[in-house]
Amino acid sequence: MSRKYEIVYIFDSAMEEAQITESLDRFHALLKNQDYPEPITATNHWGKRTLAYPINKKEQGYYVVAQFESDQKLLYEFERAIKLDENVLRYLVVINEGLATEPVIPERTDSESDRRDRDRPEKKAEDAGKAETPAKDADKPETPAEDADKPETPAEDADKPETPAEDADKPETPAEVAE
Amino acid sequence: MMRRSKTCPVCESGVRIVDYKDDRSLSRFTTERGKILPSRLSGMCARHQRQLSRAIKRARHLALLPYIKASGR
Repeated sequence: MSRKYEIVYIFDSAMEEAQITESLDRFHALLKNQDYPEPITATNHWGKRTLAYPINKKEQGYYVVAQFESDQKLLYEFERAIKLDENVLRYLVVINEGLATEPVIPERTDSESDRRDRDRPEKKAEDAGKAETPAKDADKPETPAEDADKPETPAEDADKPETPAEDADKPETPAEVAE
Repeated sequence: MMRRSKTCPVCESGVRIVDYKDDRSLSRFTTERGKILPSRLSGMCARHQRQLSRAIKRARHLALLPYIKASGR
């Protein structure tokens, strides 16, 4: 049975970009068969990021997200190949629930070699030079837009979008009195 | 500590599925030590709390979020 999957790889950041692309091609070739001549629907290179904790004593990793369609049977061989590759620090295959890679990085199907770095404060200086720094927060669906349509939100609420509803009860809120 | 909001913050923002790759949004729902915030405190609806806990666990595996956050940060 065929399903849509999503995979996140974390490569050793010491690898050259060409090596990473080569490994990716090698892995993705395993997914090809007559039913799926083009299994990969999207790839997205996040680039180097600082890991939240060291993996194999490495502080940085090169993240790649890919979406593909495959048969379950092909997946075993695919995952086995990834496990054997020591340059892959970590990987995760999950069912694609229609989550585009967009919330984090804007997605383009033709972005095979187009890498984007996230605009993060802990990013290394060497990355800062080539970073495109997309207006990341603008495409996040879950960020503060919710506050915009609240008439009674005072300015202080702008930075804690998770607790806006409580303020609705306060009768002394100026906007509320005005209504 | 975050107080309970009356409505689910995820529903309110119009997100249907919680993304495990969005570490910034996920980190809002963890304590300063990196634990998953209970829905009792975050006001999450049950459906999104389930999604959130799975998303956070996936994000931890991918080193997007720490399992335990260091105290001196």
